[in-house]
Amino acid sequence: MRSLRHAALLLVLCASASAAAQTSYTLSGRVLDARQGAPLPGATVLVEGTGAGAAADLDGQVRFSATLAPGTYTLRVSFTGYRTERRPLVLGAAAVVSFGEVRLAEDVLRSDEVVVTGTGVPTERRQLGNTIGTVDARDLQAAAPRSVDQALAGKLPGVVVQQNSGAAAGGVSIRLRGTGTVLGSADPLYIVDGVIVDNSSPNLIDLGGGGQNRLVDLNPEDIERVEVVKGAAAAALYGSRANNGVVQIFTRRGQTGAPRVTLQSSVSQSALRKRLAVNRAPFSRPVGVAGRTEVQRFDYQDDIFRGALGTQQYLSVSGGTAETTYFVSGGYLLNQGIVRGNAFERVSARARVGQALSRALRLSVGGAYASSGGSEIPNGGLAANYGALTGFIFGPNTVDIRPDPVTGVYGRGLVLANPLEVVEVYDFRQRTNRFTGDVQASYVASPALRFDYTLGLDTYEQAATAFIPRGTTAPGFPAGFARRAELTSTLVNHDLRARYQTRLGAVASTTLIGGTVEQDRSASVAAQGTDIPVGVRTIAGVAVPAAPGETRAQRVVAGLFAQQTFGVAGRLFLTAAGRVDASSAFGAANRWNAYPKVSASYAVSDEAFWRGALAGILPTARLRASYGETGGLTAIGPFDRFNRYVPVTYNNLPGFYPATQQGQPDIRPERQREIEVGADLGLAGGRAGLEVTYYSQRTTDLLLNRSLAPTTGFSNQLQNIGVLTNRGLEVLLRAQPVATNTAAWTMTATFATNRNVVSGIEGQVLQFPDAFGGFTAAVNGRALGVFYGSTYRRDADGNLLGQAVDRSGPVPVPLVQNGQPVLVPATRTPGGFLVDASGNQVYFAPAGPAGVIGDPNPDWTGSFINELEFGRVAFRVQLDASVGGDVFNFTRRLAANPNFGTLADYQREIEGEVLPGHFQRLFGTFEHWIEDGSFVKLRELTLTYRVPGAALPPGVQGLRVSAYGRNLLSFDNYSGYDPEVNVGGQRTTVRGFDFVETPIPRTFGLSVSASL
Amino acid sequence: MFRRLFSPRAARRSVLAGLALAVTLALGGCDFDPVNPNAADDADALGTRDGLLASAVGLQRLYNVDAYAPLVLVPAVTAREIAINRTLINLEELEQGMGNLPNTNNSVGALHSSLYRVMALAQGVRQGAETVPTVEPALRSGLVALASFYRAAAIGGLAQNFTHVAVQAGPGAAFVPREQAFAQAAALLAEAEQVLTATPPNAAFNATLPQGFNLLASVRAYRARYELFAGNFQAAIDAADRVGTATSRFAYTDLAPNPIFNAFFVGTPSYAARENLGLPSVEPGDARVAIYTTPTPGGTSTPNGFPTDPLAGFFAAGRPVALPTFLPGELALIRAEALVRLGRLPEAVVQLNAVRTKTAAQDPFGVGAGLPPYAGAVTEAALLGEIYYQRAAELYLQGLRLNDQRRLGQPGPAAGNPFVRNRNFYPFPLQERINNPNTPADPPV
Repeated sequence: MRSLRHAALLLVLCASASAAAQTSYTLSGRVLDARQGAPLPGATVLVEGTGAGAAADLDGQVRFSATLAPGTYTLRVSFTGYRTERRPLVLGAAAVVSFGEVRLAEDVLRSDEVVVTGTGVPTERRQLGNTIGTVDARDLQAAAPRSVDQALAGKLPGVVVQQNSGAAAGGVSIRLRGTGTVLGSADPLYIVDGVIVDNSSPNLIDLGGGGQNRLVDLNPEDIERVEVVKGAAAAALYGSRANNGVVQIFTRRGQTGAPRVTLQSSVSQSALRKRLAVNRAPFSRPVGVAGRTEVQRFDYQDDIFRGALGTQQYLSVSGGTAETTYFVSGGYLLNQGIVRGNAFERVSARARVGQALSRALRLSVGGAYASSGGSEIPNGGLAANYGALTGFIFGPNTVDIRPDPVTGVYGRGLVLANPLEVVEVYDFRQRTNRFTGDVQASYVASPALRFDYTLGLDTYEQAATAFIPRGTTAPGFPAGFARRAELTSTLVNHDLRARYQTRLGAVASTTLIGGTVEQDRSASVAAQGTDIPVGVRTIAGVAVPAAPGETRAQRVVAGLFAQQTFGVAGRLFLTAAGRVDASSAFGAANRWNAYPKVSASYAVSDEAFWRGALAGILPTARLRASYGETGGLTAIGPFDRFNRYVPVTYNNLPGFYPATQQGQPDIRPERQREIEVGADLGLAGGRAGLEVTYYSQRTTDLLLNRSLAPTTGFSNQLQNIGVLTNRGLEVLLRAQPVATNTAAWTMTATFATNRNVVSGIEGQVLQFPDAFGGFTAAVNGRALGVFYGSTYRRDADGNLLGQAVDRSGPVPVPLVQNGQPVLVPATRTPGGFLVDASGNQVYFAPAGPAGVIGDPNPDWTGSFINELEFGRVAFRVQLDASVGGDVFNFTRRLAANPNFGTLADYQREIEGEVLPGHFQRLFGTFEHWIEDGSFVKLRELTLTYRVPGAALPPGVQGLRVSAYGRNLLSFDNYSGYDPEVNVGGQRTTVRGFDFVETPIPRTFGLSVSASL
Repeated sequence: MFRRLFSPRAARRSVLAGLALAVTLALGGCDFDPVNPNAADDADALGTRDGLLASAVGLQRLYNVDAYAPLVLVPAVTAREIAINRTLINLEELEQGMGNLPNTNNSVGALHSSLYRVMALAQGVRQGAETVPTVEPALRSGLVALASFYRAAAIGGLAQNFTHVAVQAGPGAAFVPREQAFAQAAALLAEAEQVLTATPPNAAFNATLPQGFNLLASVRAYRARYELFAGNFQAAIDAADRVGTATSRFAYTDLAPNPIFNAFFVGTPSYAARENLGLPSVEPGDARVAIYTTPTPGGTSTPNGFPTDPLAGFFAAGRPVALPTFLPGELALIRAEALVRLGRLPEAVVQLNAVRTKTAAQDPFGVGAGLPPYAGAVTEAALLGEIYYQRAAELYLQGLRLNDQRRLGQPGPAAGNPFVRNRNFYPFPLQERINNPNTPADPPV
């Protein structure tokens, strides 16, 4: 009876026969690199289907105990970047079992890599119908990045990483397969160890352009690997949050064995990579122009930029027993900005403890704390115009900006702020204290059935202060300015999932069901004022306070998901999945949304017909296809569904009336549908792998602001009306042309195109106010964020029109005659003016009508990474390319204007190379200031030497010395500082906008890493 | 016990129970309908007693400050009371008028949209007053009357300038001919008058009204105005009579400033008063020219070069200075016109003379013509002409002249004549047309 009940229970739980008599075995062995024979610490050995296993220690040794029934098992040995080995394991009478040496070969294709993002359960890449990008710590940390997003640049196709600012903690944007929203943030969803983390870019103080994004709080040294899911086809399980893709970051964990200590220290030096040529003309104006005087010219870049130092210290300790593993780390980063007065500092600590509570129940608890911040210098002129580089570019550079030696008063006479005063006197600071932690429990009910629960918390408080003393040149703040703003943010997520694996004949089945609850809360307060007494830097001191502001937000997302995968004969894998979720931000009628997904992966090279000739050419070939849907809610404010009443006063009484924007009670997520197809091919006897993917995304229900009939009492409303498509091709090639036991050459090349098209814009053109009131736009049929403004004047055939002035007034003339630009000074009158053949003066025409004048979206992006290894020396070089994107060089436009005249353009006008008034006329022709922003950058360069064991000091087991460089060279035709920076910061719709944002520096460094 | 707890089955069960509990707790924390702490929503504003009181304040602000500026200034340019004095495209289009005023003009758009905002909020306040149970009768009567007053003022203000009016704001609003709109406005005011006299509002309501604003008198005066425009002449006379000598003011403060003062004296002014109040000629000795303006030779407007004089009177008294809700002279002129329309010409002359002979000192707002009694022909046409002149001078910048010109037979748009209106009615804004299929056809001019 009892056994019957037992059996029934087993049937219910679909457990295997594991309940039979069990023996306690001790298993041991060693995991080595097949090529060099070096140990592979961290490689994992698992007895498949039992949960028993352990990781290799520093010597590659693995030892663990397992209580199992005698029989034949499969031993799986795996390590990131290596092909997984499976070998039979026979457990018999002997309690001590050695499985000997396992040599793992490098996996160029990475098809054996196990990933979890987008699938919910650890899954070998070969089973997936979609691509998933993975990056290992080694590739991320090669050139000592400051943040993980910066380090992702060039690592994967279809992942466009743009560092928007070269400030000490300058923000980074990531676009996965293009931009998928207009009004919201287009950056992906970030998950760290199962915890949804905040990566917003709170601009608490106005730094002129962009600011930090909060991923900067995460120490990249703590990262073990990163997984990137790029679109709806792969991300359906993230439902309403996944339109921009998902980036999951896994931090390091403790491993069984004696304590492993890693100590790392680096120093770096950063400098301005390229200077702008300033106006050196000794006169203020061209000959014959009123107000021409003799002037002295200065280069304020000398006063603004510096050689900046950086240092990074890092210590980690990990180890553990079969039951308990631990990992702790601490890090300190100081990164000076190349703009004087700008520095970023980060103190971080992380710990994780894993504990087996029973054979079935495991607990892992992790926590990370970071305190990051520093001093800021405003630059860039998109918002406030009191910045240092802003002051420089508006010039004129004819003022000695140094303080008066007697009074200490900084030089006056600039159009905007004195840059030297900005870097020496302003006091702008930010500080963020952040805790991210998680509790993860896993319960292995049986080899087939497993439950996982994750509780995640991410909370931070960011405080920013701004202070400009009274009596400075800061425009608009003659009596000083003080501001303090604080933001608190808390994200909590619960995830529960159950996985059931079984076999139905030749078909392996994996079933996943789960649920998630995600809660966000944030609040910000700000107070500021002007007219500040001497000696006070706080808002308490201001004589003219502005009304303080506070906003609060809260949102909840809850979802249920399920996924079923069938593996047929180990070569055809079919997956169907879906998620339904709801958010408090959605209208009540549209609260629940469903997102399906189907995918297939077919290892065609495993088929019998492949053997022979085909296998000779393509040893492995896999075809995959995937379709999925996701939602986007970054464009939806937590309370956008309500009508909002604006506080007003009348008759000195408080009252309110409705805002002109009507609430949208039916607001629903933007919906993306994506199909992707691709192939993974192994070439050259497995020494090269090619991954090719084509995707087509269509985001409908795109939120846009739509005008309403004024008879409704409102003027506009958010409506789910737009459409955005992204289509592209991604290619990833990995190859190892040379692999001997002393030398290796590995290369990785990526290539990606993306074509983005917007439609559904009311009135065809939507100009975005945050680019100076509309210099970027969404235009139907064009890519999002195109530059929009006055064009050149053209004739009916599209030829540029100039303008000649004769007695009857201005008449249009072609700017190019007989293939020669008319503006080339072929003929000069005695007055020095350029004339055409009829003796008329020639000028550029006044601007033509407004239209699309450029597109910041590149035609293609790519990278080329080469790693060379000779014995103890390793060399790694990474080139990144971005081709076909335009940059709006607002910086140059301003500096060419005669009122400012800071750069060499105006010098040409003063010296008569171009006509007087040339640049004044071009000032209003915005098309003239669009430049090709294509570049190839020498992004990362690393030279590493492994000190031989004999030379190591006692107690040191390994020592590496590296020299590295980042952003050393840029091959481009761009005339400004850097085609990559963007004064719009992380804004979705202001891209490629150059307006004196801090350029990205060239950085050299030295690093020493020791393992003890 | 120990064994039981740690038996695989019990452990499994307890873990599962723990996970279920965690999920339950997590879901328990799910608030799918959080309250927006940053701003009031409809439920706060129109569904609670306090919200309705605050909405009553907001409604006054919306009309008296925000909507009043376009309501007065936009038709004042069209009817030539004032000149534009700044080269902004919307202003230039407005002063050119006729076919040069496109349906994308921002000034006309502001006139249209701001009055519909008033209408929508007034409808909400009224509905809230009638449905929120905690609103006591003496508060309800005040809220209903206030909402009706402003809704009527919005309807009337629109009917003065457009051929058709949507008398009920909302999605897919339907338009009625302007005559019907005036009748609807008058009916709303009739109801408001009835409600106010039946249940005088309590102190809680009256506290929302500024000093000097007499709601009942305003309701009656506006009723007289719209009854006249709707052609209900006796009702217009009766309503004007019931106002008696009462006056009413829209109050302003520095934070809710006088919008006419703002437009003429703050920052870069967009407008200037035309010489002679924009009339081709004024009757010699008419003191009102020097009351409303400070005649100064030599001033001209930009860019069209019309002679201008600095604006004066209560318009120029400062940001926090009140404006009349209606002028006492309007009541006499309403009676005069209604009497003429009813054929009672001698009685009309009496009313006319009350305005003609009034001196500044006799008027609560300091508006007095100081002219001798009427000596012209006592015919309908002559009297209507005289009534137009008196209304133009007496009711300068009350937003009424464009409608008066049409009603009282003044000549219509003529190219190159800066003394006749440049449009009869405004085109319906494009934003309305593309979003509301009920938008009527635009008038030719």
